[in-house]
Amino acid sequence: MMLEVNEFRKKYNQNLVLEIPQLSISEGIHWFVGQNGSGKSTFFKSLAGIIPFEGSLLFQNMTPHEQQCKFLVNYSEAEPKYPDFVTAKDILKFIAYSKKAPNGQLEDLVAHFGVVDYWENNIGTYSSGMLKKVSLVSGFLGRPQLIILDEPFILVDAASIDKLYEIVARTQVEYGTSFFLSSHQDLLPEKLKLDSVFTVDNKTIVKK
Amino acid sequence: MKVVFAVFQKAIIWDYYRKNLLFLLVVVLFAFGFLKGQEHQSIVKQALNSPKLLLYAVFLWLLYGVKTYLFVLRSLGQPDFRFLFHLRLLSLWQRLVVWFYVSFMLSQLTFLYAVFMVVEGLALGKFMSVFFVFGSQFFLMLLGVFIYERRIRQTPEAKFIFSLTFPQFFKFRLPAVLFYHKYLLYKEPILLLLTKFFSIFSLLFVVWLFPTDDYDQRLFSMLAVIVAVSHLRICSQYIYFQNRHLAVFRNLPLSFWYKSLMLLLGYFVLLLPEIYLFIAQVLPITRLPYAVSWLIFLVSTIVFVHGFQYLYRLSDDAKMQYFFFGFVFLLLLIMYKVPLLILSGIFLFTGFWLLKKFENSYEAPQ
Repeated sequence: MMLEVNEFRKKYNQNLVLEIPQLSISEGIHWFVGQNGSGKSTFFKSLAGIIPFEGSLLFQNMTPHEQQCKFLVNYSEAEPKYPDFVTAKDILKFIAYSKKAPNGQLEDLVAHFGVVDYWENNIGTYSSGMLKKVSLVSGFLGRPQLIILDEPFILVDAASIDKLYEIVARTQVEYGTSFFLSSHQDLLPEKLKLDSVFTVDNKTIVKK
Repeated sequence: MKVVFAVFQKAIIWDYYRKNLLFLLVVVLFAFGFLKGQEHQSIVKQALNSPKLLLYAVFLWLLYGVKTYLFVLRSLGQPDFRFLFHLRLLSLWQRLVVWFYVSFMLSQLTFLYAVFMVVEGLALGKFMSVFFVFGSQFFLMLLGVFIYERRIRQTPEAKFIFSLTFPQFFKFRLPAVLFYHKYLLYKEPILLLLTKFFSIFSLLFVVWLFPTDDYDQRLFSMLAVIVAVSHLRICSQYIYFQNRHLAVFRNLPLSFWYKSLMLLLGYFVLLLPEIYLFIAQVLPITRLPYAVSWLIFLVSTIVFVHGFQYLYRLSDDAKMQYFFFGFVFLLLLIMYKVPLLILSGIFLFTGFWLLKKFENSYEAPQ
Protein backbone atom coordinates (compact mmCIF):
# COMPACT_ATOMS: atom_id res chain seq x y z
CA MET A 1 0.00 0.00 0.00
CA MET A 2 1.17 3.50 -0.83
CA LEU A 3 -0.57 5.16 2.10
CA GLU A 4 -1.50 3.71 5.48
CA VAL A 5 -3.66 5.71 7.89
CA ASN A 6 -4.26 4.58 11.47
CA GLU A 7 -6.12 6.37 14.26
CA PHE A 8 -5.74 9.68 12.48
CA ARG A 9 -7.30 12.63 14.29
CA LYS A 10 -7.21 16.33 13.62
CA LYS A 11 -8.60 19.02 15.91
CA TYR A 12 -8.81 22.78 15.53
CA ASN A 13 -9.14 24.58 18.86
CA GLN A 14 -10.13 21.29 20.56
CA ASN A 15 -12.88 20.70 17.97
CA LEU A 16 -12.52 17.40 16.17
CA VAL A 17 -12.77 17.97 12.42
CA LEU A 18 -11.51 14.67 11.03
CA GLU A 19 -11.08 11.17 12.42
CA ILE A 20 -9.98 8.19 10.35
CA PRO A 21 -9.68 4.91 12.30
CA GLN A 22 -8.09 3.00 9.43
CA LEU A 23 -7.55 3.63 5.73
CA SER A 24 -5.22 2.17 3.10
CA ILE A 25 -4.76 3.63 -0.35
CA SER A 26 -2.79 2.06 -3.19
CA GLU A 27 -1.14 3.74 -6.18
CA GLY A 28 -3.34 5.34 -8.83
CA ILE A 29 -5.61 8.31 -9.38
CA HIS A 30 -8.01 8.85 -6.51
CA TRP A 31 -10.90 11.26 -6.23
CA PHE A 32 -11.97 12.78 -2.88
CA VAL A 33 -15.40 14.30 -2.77
CA GLY A 34 -16.98 16.16 0.13
CA GLN A 35 -18.77 19.34 1.03
CA ASN A 36 -17.00 22.56 1.93
CA GLY A 37 -15.44 22.20 5.37
CA SER A 38 -15.73 18.41 5.34
CA GLY A 39 -11.99 17.98 5.96
CA LYS A 40 -10.51 17.27 2.50
CA SER A 41 -7.92 20.05 2.70
CA THR A 42 -7.14 19.16 6.31
CA PHE A 43 -6.35 15.59 5.29
CA PHE A 44 -4.26 16.74 2.32
CA LYS A 45 -2.35 19.31 4.35
CA SER A 46 -1.60 16.70 7.01
CA LEU A 47 -0.29 14.34 4.35
CA ALA A 48 1.84 17.11 2.84
CA GLY A 49 3.44 17.85 6.24
CA ILE A 50 1.94 21.33 6.41
CA ILE A 51 -0.15 20.91 9.56
CA PRO A 52 0.34 18.66 12.62
CA PHE A 53 -2.07 15.86 13.50
CA GLU A 54 -2.54 12.98 15.93
CA GLY A 55 -2.20 9.33 14.99
CA SER A 56 -0.32 7.65 12.21
CA LEU A 57 -0.10 8.68 8.57
CA LEU A 58 2.54 6.75 6.66
CA PHE A 59 3.43 7.32 3.02
CA GLN A 60 5.63 4.43 1.94
CA ASN A 61 6.43 3.92 5.63
CA MET A 62 7.54 7.52 6.05
CA THR A 63 5.86 10.20 8.15
CA PRO A 64 4.88 13.40 6.31
CA HIS A 65 7.41 15.45 8.28
CA GLU A 66 10.39 13.44 7.06
CA GLN A 67 12.52 15.27 4.53
CA GLN A 68 12.54 12.34 2.10
CA CYS A 69 8.74 12.14 2.21
CA LYS A 70 8.49 15.77 1.16
CA PHE A 71 10.44 14.93 -1.99
CA LEU A 72 7.84 12.31 -2.83
CA VAL A 73 4.61 14.12 -1.92
CA ASN A 74 3.69 17.41 -3.62
CA TYR A 75 0.74 19.57 -2.70
CA SER A 76 -1.14 22.21 -4.69
CA GLU A 77 -3.44 24.35 -2.53
CA ALA A 78 -7.15 24.87 -3.17
CA GLU A 79 -6.88 28.58 -2.53
CA PRO A 80 -3.20 29.42 -2.79
CA LYS A 81 -1.76 32.10 -0.54
CA TYR A 82 1.55 33.64 -1.48
CA PRO A 83 3.03 37.01 -0.50
CA ASP A 84 1.59 39.53 -2.99
CA PHE A 85 4.82 41.54 -3.27
CA VAL A 86 6.99 38.78 -4.74
CA THR A 87 6.79 37.33 -8.22
CA ALA A 88 5.62 33.83 -9.12
CA LYS A 89 9.05 33.33 -10.66
CA ASP A 90 10.75 33.94 -7.29
CA ILE A 91 8.43 31.47 -5.56
CA LEU A 92 8.51 28.77 -8.24
CA LYS A 93 12.30 28.96 -8.70
CA PHE A 94 12.73 28.31 -4.98
CA ILE A 95 10.26 25.42 -4.97
CA ALA A 96 11.95 23.94 -8.05
CA TYR A 97 15.34 24.21 -6.35
CA SER A 98 14.03 22.63 -3.11
CA LYS A 99 12.26 19.78 -4.89
CA LYS A 100 15.33 19.18 -7.07
CA ALA A 101 13.33 19.67 -10.26
CA PRO A 102 15.11 18.41 -13.40
CA ASN A 103 16.60 21.05 -15.71
CA GLY A 104 13.97 22.68 -17.91
CA GLN A 105 10.99 21.20 -16.03
CA LEU A 106 9.90 24.53 -14.54
CA GLU A 107 10.13 26.29 -17.91
CA ASP A 108 8.06 23.53 -19.56
CA LEU A 109 5.39 23.70 -16.86
CA VAL A 110 4.99 27.49 -16.87
CA ALA A 111 4.72 27.35 -20.67
CA HIS A 112 2.15 24.51 -20.49
CA PHE A 113 -0.14 26.37 -18.07
CA GLY A 114 0.47 29.82 -19.61
CA VAL A 115 2.04 31.14 -16.42
CA VAL A 116 5.09 32.33 -18.32
CA ASP A 117 3.14 35.36 -19.60
CA TYR A 118 2.88 36.95 -16.18
CA TRP A 119 5.24 35.17 -13.81
CA GLU A 120 7.66 38.09 -13.61
CA ASN A 121 4.93 40.39 -12.24
CA ASN A 122 4.20 40.72 -8.55
CA ILE A 123 1.61 38.22 -7.31
CA GLY A 124 -0.55 41.08 -6.02
CA THR A 125 -1.47 41.86 -9.64
CA TYR A 126 -2.81 38.33 -10.39
CA SER A 127 -6.41 37.20 -10.63
CA SER A 128 -7.46 34.18 -8.56
CA GLY A 129 -7.28 32.00 -11.70
CA MET A 130 -3.73 33.12 -12.48
CA LEU A 131 -2.73 32.38 -8.90
CA LYS A 132 -4.35 28.95 -9.04
CA LYS A 133 -2.27 28.08 -12.11
CA VAL A 134 0.92 29.05 -10.23
CA SER A 135 -0.13 26.64 -7.49
CA LEU A 136 -0.80 23.88 -10.07
CA VAL A 137 2.67 24.37 -11.55
CA SER A 138 4.21 24.06 -8.08
CA GLY A 139 2.42 20.72 -7.61
CA PHE A 140 4.26 19.11 -10.53
CA LEU A 141 7.80 20.26 -9.70
CA GLY A 142 10.42 17.61 -8.98
CA ARG A 143 9.83 13.86 -9.32
CA PRO A 144 7.11 13.17 -6.73
CA GLN A 145 5.37 9.83 -6.42
CA LEU A 146 2.16 11.43 -5.20
CA ILE A 147 0.72 14.75 -6.32
CA ILE A 148 -2.14 16.17 -4.28
CA LEU A 149 -4.28 18.63 -6.21
CA ASP A 150 -6.77 20.26 -3.86
CA GLU A 151 -9.86 21.46 -5.78
CA PRO A 152 -7.88 21.64 -9.05
CA PHE A 153 -10.82 22.55 -11.25
CA ILE A 154 -12.05 25.61 -9.42
CA LEU A 155 -10.97 29.13 -10.45
CA VAL A 156 -9.36 28.05 -13.74
CA ASP A 157 -10.85 28.32 -17.26
CA ALA A 158 -11.95 25.42 -19.51
CA ALA A 159 -8.75 25.47 -21.59
CA SER A 160 -6.62 25.16 -18.46
CA ILE A 161 -8.77 22.27 -17.20
CA ASP A 162 -8.07 20.38 -20.44
CA LYS A 163 -4.35 21.06 -20.02
CA LEU A 164 -4.56 19.75 -16.49
CA TYR A 165 -6.28 16.51 -17.60
CA GLU A 166 -3.60 16.06 -20.21
CA ILE A 167 -0.64 16.57 -17.89
CA VAL A 168 -2.13 14.39 -15.11
CA ALA A 169 -2.61 11.49 -17.55
CA ARG A 170 0.82 12.00 -19.10
CA THR A 171 2.64 12.23 -15.74
CA GLN A 172 1.00 9.05 -14.52
CA VAL A 173 1.94 7.14 -17.66
CA GLU A 174 5.52 8.45 -17.89
CA TYR A 175 6.53 8.39 -14.21
CA GLY A 176 3.92 6.21 -12.51
CA THR A 177 2.90 9.15 -10.33
CA SER A 178 -0.22 8.80 -8.19
CA PHE A 179 -2.75 11.58 -7.79
CA PHE A 180 -5.18 12.68 -5.09
CA LEU A 181 -7.72 15.11 -6.48
CA SER A 182 -10.61 16.67 -4.62
CA SER A 183 -13.85 18.44 -5.29
CA HIS A 184 -16.76 19.75 -3.26
CA GLN A 185 -19.14 18.83 -6.09
CA ASP A 186 -20.42 15.34 -6.92
CA LEU A 187 -19.38 15.58 -10.58
CA LEU A 188 -16.61 13.19 -11.56
CA PRO A 189 -13.92 14.20 -14.04
CA GLU A 190 -14.93 12.50 -17.30
CA LYS A 191 -11.55 12.69 -18.98
CA LEU A 192 -9.64 10.89 -16.22
CA LYS A 193 -9.57 7.20 -15.46
CA LEU A 194 -10.14 7.08 -11.71
CA ASP A 195 -8.95 4.15 -9.63
CA SER A 196 -11.19 4.94 -6.68
CA VAL A 197 -13.48 7.53 -5.17
CA PHE A 198 -13.46 8.50 -1.48
CA THR A 199 -16.21 10.32 0.34
CA VAL A 200 -15.27 12.85 2.98
CA ASP A 201 -18.28 13.21 5.24
CA ASN A 202 -19.29 12.98 8.90
CA LYS A 203 -15.74 13.89 9.94
CA THR A 204 -14.22 10.82 8.31
CA ILE A 205 -13.11 9.41 4.94
CA VAL A 206 -14.50 6.21 3.47
CA LYS A 207 -14.03 4.48 0.14
CA LYS A 208 -17.14 4.66 -2.04
CA MET B 1 -20.46 56.27 29.94
CA LYS B 2 -18.65 54.65 32.88
CA VAL B 3 -19.35 51.24 31.40
CA VAL B 4 -17.95 52.29 28.03
CA PHE B 5 -14.79 53.63 29.64
CA ALA B 6 -14.40 50.37 31.56
CA VAL B 7 -14.78 48.30 28.39
CA PHE B 8 -12.20 50.31 26.47
CA GLN B 9 -9.88 50.32 29.44
CA LYS B 10 -9.92 46.52 29.64
CA ALA B 11 -9.99 45.81 25.91
CA ILE B 12 -7.39 48.30 24.72
CA ILE B 13 -5.54 50.18 27.46
CA TRP B 14 -4.71 47.27 29.76
CA ASP B 15 -4.07 45.05 26.77
CA TYR B 16 -1.57 47.57 25.43
CA TYR B 17 0.34 47.85 28.70
CA ARG B 18 0.29 44.08 29.22
CA LYS B 19 1.65 43.37 25.75
CA ASN B 20 4.25 46.14 25.90
CA LEU B 21 5.45 45.51 29.43
CA LEU B 22 8.90 44.51 28.29
CA PHE B 23 9.25 47.48 25.95
CA LEU B 24 8.20 49.91 28.69
CA LEU B 25 10.57 48.28 31.14
CA VAL B 26 13.45 48.72 28.70
CA VAL B 27 12.55 52.38 28.16
CA VAL B 28 12.26 53.08 31.88
CA LEU B 29 15.50 51.20 32.56
CA PHE B 30 17.14 53.23 29.84
CA ALA B 31 15.79 56.57 30.99
CA PHE B 32 16.19 56.16 34.74
CA GLY B 33 18.75 53.38 35.09
CA PHE B 34 21.58 55.13 33.29
CA LEU B 35 20.68 58.76 33.96
CA LYS B 36 20.27 60.30 37.39
CA GLY B 37 17.56 62.80 38.35
CA GLN B 38 19.97 65.75 38.14
CA GLU B 39 21.04 64.69 34.65
CA HIS B 40 17.39 64.62 33.57
CA GLN B 41 16.96 68.13 34.95
CA SER B 42 19.96 69.46 33.03
CA ILE B 43 18.78 67.75 29.81
CA VAL B 44 15.30 69.27 30.23
CA LYS B 45 16.77 72.72 30.92
CA GLN B 46 18.88 72.47 27.78
CA ALA B 47 15.85 71.37 25.75
CA LEU B 48 13.69 74.22 27.06
CA ASN B 49 16.37 76.67 25.90
CA SER B 50 16.80 75.08 22.48
CA PRO B 51 13.95 74.80 19.95
CA LYS B 52 16.01 72.24 18.03
CA LEU B 53 16.24 69.92 21.04
CA LEU B 54 12.53 70.41 21.71
CA LEU B 55 11.79 69.29 18.15
CA TYR B 56 13.86 66.14 18.71
CA ALA B 57 11.83 65.40 21.84
CA VAL B 58 8.55 65.90 19.98
CA PHE B 59 9.81 63.60 17.21
CA LEU B 60 10.45 60.86 19.79
CA TRP B 61 6.98 61.38 21.25
CA LEU B 62 5.51 61.17 17.76
CA LEU B 63 7.25 57.82 17.18
CA TYR B 64 5.82 56.54 20.43
CA GLY B 65 2.44 57.95 19.43
CA VAL B 66 2.59 56.03 16.12
CA LYS B 67 3.27 52.86 18.09
CA THR B 68 0.10 53.37 20.16
CA TYR B 69 -2.02 54.35 17.12
CA LEU B 70 -0.96 51.18 15.30
CA PHE B 71 -1.75 49.08 18.34
CA VAL B 72 -5.32 50.41 18.52
CA LEU B 73 -5.81 49.99 14.76
CA ARG B 74 -4.56 46.41 14.90
CA SER B 75 -6.83 45.64 17.83
CA LEU B 76 -9.86 47.07 16.04
CA GLY B 77 -9.03 44.95 13.01
CA GLN B 78 -9.15 41.69 14.96
CA PRO B 79 -12.38 39.67 15.02
CA ASP B 80 -12.22 39.45 18.84
CA PHE B 81 -12.54 43.21 19.12
CA ARG B 82 -15.41 43.74 16.69
CA PHE B 83 -17.79 44.41 19.55
CA LEU B 84 -15.96 47.71 20.06
CA PHE B 85 -17.57 48.94 16.84
CA HIS B 86 -20.80 49.27 18.82
CA LEU B 87 -19.27 52.55 19.92
CA ARG B 88 -20.81 53.94 16.73
CA LEU B 89 -24.18 53.82 18.48
CA LEU B 90 -23.06 56.68 20.73
CA SER B 91 -23.17 60.33 19.69
CA LEU B 92 -20.12 61.92 18.06
CA TRP B 93 -19.20 63.87 21.17
CA GLN B 94 -19.44 60.82 23.39
CA ARG B 95 -17.23 58.89 20.96
CA LEU B 96 -14.65 61.68 20.92
CA VAL B 97 -14.54 61.69 24.72
CA VAL B 98 -13.97 57.91 24.76
CA TRP B 99 -11.22 58.13 22.16
CA PHE B 100 -9.57 61.03 23.98
CA TYR B 101 -9.58 58.91 27.14
CA VAL B 102 -7.97 56.02 25.25
CA SER B 103 -5.42 58.30 23.59
CA PHE B 104 -4.58 60.02 26.89
CA MET B 105 -4.12 56.76 28.78
CA LEU B 106 -1.92 55.26 26.07
CA SER B 107 0.38 58.27 25.95
CA GLN B 108 1.17 58.27 29.68
CA LEU B 109 4.82 57.38 29.07
CA THR B 110 5.51 60.58 27.17
CA PHE B 111 2.83 62.69 28.86
CA LEU B 112 4.30 62.27 32.35
CA TYR B 113 7.73 63.29 31.09
CA ALA B 114 6.11 66.29 29.37
CA VAL B 115 4.51 67.25 32.71
CA PHE B 116 7.99 67.13 34.27
CA MET B 117 9.25 69.42 31.49
CA VAL B 118 6.31 71.79 31.97
CA VAL B 119 6.99 72.07 35.71
CA GLU B 120 10.67 72.80 35.03
CA GLY B 121 9.72 75.27 32.30
CA LEU B 122 7.31 77.18 34.54
CA ALA B 123 9.99 77.41 37.24
CA LEU B 124 12.41 78.83 34.67
CA GLY B 125 9.82 81.16 33.14
CA LYS B 126 10.13 79.53 29.68
CA PHE B 127 6.46 79.99 28.83
CA MET B 128 6.82 79.59 25.06
CA SER B 129 8.62 76.26 25.49
CA VAL B 130 6.03 75.16 28.03
CA PHE B 131 3.26 76.04 25.59
CA PHE B 132 5.06 74.11 22.83
CA VAL B 133 5.54 71.01 25.01
CA PHE B 134 1.94 71.06 26.20
CA GLY B 135 0.60 71.84 22.73
CA SER B 136 2.54 69.03 21.06
CA GLN B 137 1.28 66.50 23.62
CA PHE B 138 -2.27 67.70 23.11
CA PHE B 139 -1.84 67.54 19.33
CA LEU B 140 -0.52 63.93 19.48
CA MET B 141 -3.51 62.89 21.57
CA LEU B 142 -5.95 64.59 19.20
CA LEU B 143 -4.21 62.92 16.26
CA GLY B 144 -4.95 59.59 17.92
CA VAL B 145 -8.59 60.60 18.44
CA PHE B 146 -8.86 61.53 14.74
CA ILE B 147 -7.30 58.23 13.57
CA TYR B 148 -9.44 56.04 15.84
CA GLU B 149 -12.65 57.87 14.99
CA ARG B 150 -11.87 57.55 11.28
CA ARG B 151 -11.32 53.81 11.70
CA ILE B 152 -14.49 53.20 13.67
CA ARG B 153 -16.51 54.82 10.88
CA GLN B 154 -15.34 52.09 8.50
CA THR B 155 -16.59 48.52 8.55
CA PRO B 156 -14.83 46.15 11.00
CA GLU B 157 -13.55 44.10 8.04
CA ALA B 158 -11.84 47.10 6.38
CA LYS B 159 -8.09 46.64 6.46
CA PHE B 160 -5.67 49.30 7.55
CA ILE B 161 -3.12 49.21 4.79
CA PHE B 162 0.11 51.12 4.81
CA SER B 163 2.48 49.88 2.18
CA LEU B 164 5.28 51.35 0.17
CA THR B 165 5.56 51.23 -3.59
CA PHE B 166 9.00 51.13 -5.07
CA PRO B 167 9.95 52.11 -8.62
CA GLN B 168 10.40 49.47 -11.32
CA PHE B 169 14.20 49.50 -11.12
CA PHE B 170 13.97 48.19 -7.57
CA LYS B 171 12.79 44.85 -8.93
CA PHE B 172 15.34 42.05 -8.97
CA ARG B 173 15.36 38.31 -8.53
CA LEU B 174 14.57 37.89 -4.88
CA PRO B 175 16.09 34.95 -2.98
CA ALA B 176 13.69 33.23 -0.58
CA VAL B 177 15.79 34.25 2.42
CA LEU B 178 14.79 37.87 1.74
CA PHE B 179 11.03 37.33 1.35
CA TYR B 180 10.42 38.33 4.94
CA HIS B 181 12.56 41.45 4.63
CA LYS B 182 10.53 42.57 1.65
CA TYR B 183 7.36 41.82 3.59
CA LEU B 184 8.55 44.09 6.41
CA LEU B 185 9.51 46.79 3.95
CA TYR B 186 6.21 46.68 2.07
CA LYS B 187 3.64 45.61 4.64
CA GLU B 188 5.08 46.54 8.04
CA PRO B 189 7.29 49.58 7.36
CA ILE B 190 6.24 51.29 10.59
CA LEU B 191 7.15 48.23 12.67
CA LEU B 192 10.51 48.01 10.92
CA LEU B 193 11.14 51.74 11.28
CA LEU B 194 10.22 51.88 14.96
CA THR B 195 12.26 48.78 15.80
CA LYS B 196 15.31 50.02 13.95
CA PHE B 197 14.95 53.52 15.35
CA PHE B 198 14.74 52.22 18.91
CA SER B 199 17.64 49.79 18.65
CA ILE B 200 19.90 52.22 16.77
CA PHE B 201 19.03 55.01 19.17
CA SER B 202 19.87 52.68 22.08
CA LEU B 203 23.19 51.79 20.48
CA LEU B 204 24.17 55.41 19.86
CA PHE B 205 23.08 56.36 23.38
CA VAL B 206 25.31 53.68 24.93
CA VAL B 207 28.22 54.69 22.69
CA TRP B 208 27.75 58.28 23.90
CA LEU B 209 27.40 57.18 27.54
CA PHE B 210 30.35 54.76 27.63
CA PRO B 211 33.23 57.23 27.91
CA THR B 212 31.39 59.53 30.37
CA ASP B 213 31.76 57.38 33.49
CA ASP B 214 33.42 54.24 34.82
CA TYR B 215 31.44 51.87 32.65
CA ASP B 216 32.91 48.64 31.35
CA GLN B 217 32.08 46.30 28.47
CA ARG B 218 29.06 44.92 30.32
CA LEU B 219 27.22 48.04 29.23
CA PHE B 220 27.55 46.90 25.59
CA SER B 221 26.49 43.36 26.57
CA MET B 222 23.34 44.81 28.14
CA LEU B 223 22.84 46.81 24.98
CA ALA B 224 22.85 43.57 22.95
CA VAL B 225 20.00 42.28 25.15
CA ILE B 226 18.06 45.52 24.64
CA VAL B 227 18.57 45.35 20.87
CA ALA B 228 17.39 41.71 20.87
CA VAL B 229 14.34 42.55 22.97
CA SER B 230 13.43 45.42 20.68
CA HIS B 231 13.20 42.82 17.88
CA LEU B 232 10.65 40.73 19.75
CA ARG B 233 7.75 41.65 17.50
CA ILE B 234 9.90 41.26 14.38
CA CYS B 235 10.52 37.65 15.48
CA SER B 236 6.86 36.86 16.17
CA GLN B 237 5.88 38.53 12.91
CA TYR B 238 8.42 36.31 11.10
CA ILE B 239 6.55 33.18 12.20
CA TYR B 240 3.19 34.77 11.41
CA PHE B 241 4.48 35.61 7.92
CA GLN B 242 5.71 32.06 7.30
CA ASN B 243 2.40 30.53 8.39
CA ARG B 244 0.11 33.05 6.74
CA HIS B 245 1.86 33.56 3.40
CA LEU B 246 4.21 30.64 2.91
CA ALA B 247 2.48 27.72 4.63
CA VAL B 248 3.01 25.63 1.50
CA PHE B 249 6.78 25.93 2.01
CA ARG B 250 6.36 23.45 4.85
CA ASN B 251 5.87 20.87 2.12
CA LEU B 252 9.40 21.57 0.83
CA PRO B 253 12.10 19.01 1.61
CA LEU B 254 14.50 21.46 3.27
CA SER B 255 16.98 20.00 5.73
CA PHE B 256 17.14 21.30 9.30
CA TRP B 257 20.60 22.72 8.65
CA TYR B 258 19.44 24.52 5.53
CA LYS B 259 16.52 26.08 7.43
CA SER B 260 18.81 27.03 10.30
CA LEU B 261 21.23 28.68 7.91
CA MET B 262 18.36 30.57 6.25
CA LEU B 263 17.23 31.77 9.67
CA LEU B 264 20.71 32.90 10.72
CA LEU B 265 21.27 34.64 7.41
CA GLY B 266 17.84 36.29 7.55
CA TYR B 267 18.44 37.74 11.00
CA PHE B 268 21.99 38.71 10.12
CA VAL B 269 20.65 40.80 7.22
CA LEU B 270 17.98 42.31 9.49
CA LEU B 271 20.62 43.27 12.04
CA LEU B 272 23.05 44.73 9.51
CA PRO B 273 22.41 48.39 10.53
CA GLU B 274 23.16 47.62 14.19
CA ILE B 275 26.16 45.44 13.30
CA TYR B 276 27.57 48.12 11.01
CA LEU B 277 27.13 50.83 13.65
CA PHE B 278 28.66 48.62 16.32
CA ILE B 279 31.72 47.94 14.19
CA ALA B 280 32.07 51.59 13.21
CA GLN B 281 31.43 53.13 16.63
CA VAL B 282 32.40 50.55 19.24
CA LEU B 283 35.25 48.59 17.70
CA PRO B 284 37.67 51.52 18.12
CA ILE B 285 36.95 51.68 21.88
CA THR B 286 36.92 47.96 22.66
CA ARG B 287 38.86 44.80 21.79
CA LEU B 288 38.29 42.68 18.70
CA PRO B 289 37.58 39.39 20.56
CA TYR B 290 34.91 41.14 22.63
CA ALA B 291 33.36 42.70 19.51
CA VAL B 292 33.16 39.27 17.84
CA SER B 293 31.60 37.65 20.93
CA TRP B 294 29.12 40.60 21.15
CA LEU B 295 27.98 39.99 17.56
CA ILE B 296 27.58 36.24 18.17
CA PHE B 297 25.68 36.98 21.39
CA LEU B 298 23.29 39.36 19.63
CA VAL B 299 22.43 36.94 16.83
CA SER B 300 22.14 33.96 19.18
CA THR B 301 19.78 35.86 21.52
CA ILE B 302 17.53 36.65 18.55
CA VAL B 303 17.64 33.01 17.41
CA PHE B 304 16.55 31.96 20.90
CA VAL B 305 13.70 34.51 20.89
CA HIS B 306 12.63 33.16 17.49
CA GLY B 307 12.75 29.53 18.64
CA PHE B 308 10.79 30.36 21.79
CA GLN B 309 7.86 31.61 19.67
CA TYR B 310 7.28 28.02 18.50
CA LEU B 311 6.09 26.98 21.97
CA TYR B 312 2.50 26.91 20.78
CA ARG B 313 1.12 25.62 24.07
CA LEU B 314 2.08 28.90 25.75
CA SER B 315 -0.28 31.84 25.31
CA ASP B 316 1.10 35.18 24.16
CA ASP B 317 0.70 36.54 27.69
CA ALA B 318 2.63 33.63 29.17
CA LYS B 319 5.39 34.12 26.60
CA MET B 320 5.63 37.81 27.52
CA GLN B 321 5.97 36.89 31.19
CA TYR B 322 8.78 34.47 30.38
CA PHE B 323 10.48 37.11 28.26
CA PHE B 324 10.11 39.68 31.02
CA PHE B 325 11.70 37.51 33.71
CA GLY B 326 14.23 36.15 31.23
CA PHE B 327 15.25 39.70 30.35
CA VAL B 328 15.84 40.65 34.00
CA PHE B 329 17.67 37.36 34.66
CA LEU B 330 19.89 37.86 31.63
CA LEU B 331 20.84 41.36 32.75
CA LEU B 332 21.80 39.91 36.14
CA LEU B 333 23.96 37.24 34.49
CA ILE B 334 25.73 39.95 32.54
CA MET B 335 26.20 42.02 35.69
CA TYR B 336 27.82 38.95 37.32
CA LYS B 337 30.19 38.75 34.36
CA VAL B 338 29.05 35.44 32.88
CA PRO B 339 31.02 35.22 29.60
CA LEU B 340 29.03 36.16 26.50
CA LEU B 341 30.21 33.13 24.55
CA ILE B 342 28.76 30.76 27.16
CA LEU B 343 25.41 32.57 27.03
CA SER B 344 25.59 32.56 23.21
CA GLY B 345 26.20 28.81 23.17
CA ILE B 346 23.21 28.19 25.43
CA PHE B 347 20.95 30.46 23.34
CA LEU B 348 22.03 29.01 20.01
CA PHE B 349 21.64 25.44 21.20
CA THR B 350 18.26 26.07 22.85
CA GLY B 351 16.96 28.21 19.97
CA PHE B 352 17.76 25.59 17.33
CA TRP B 353 16.55 22.77 19.57
CA LEU B 354 13.18 24.52 19.97
CA LEU B 355 13.05 25.03 16.21
CA LYS B 356 13.80 21.38 15.48
CA LYS B 357 11.45 20.00 18.13
CA PHE B 358 8.44 22.25 17.70
CA GLU B 359 8.48 23.59 14.14
CA ASN B 360 6.53 20.66 12.70
CA SER B 361 3.98 20.63 15.51
CA TYR B 362 3.48 24.40 15.44
CA GLU B 363 0.19 25.61 14.11
CA ALA B 364 -0.89 29.22 13.88
CA PRO B 365 -4.01 30.01 15.96
CA GLN B 366 -7.18 29.51 13.88
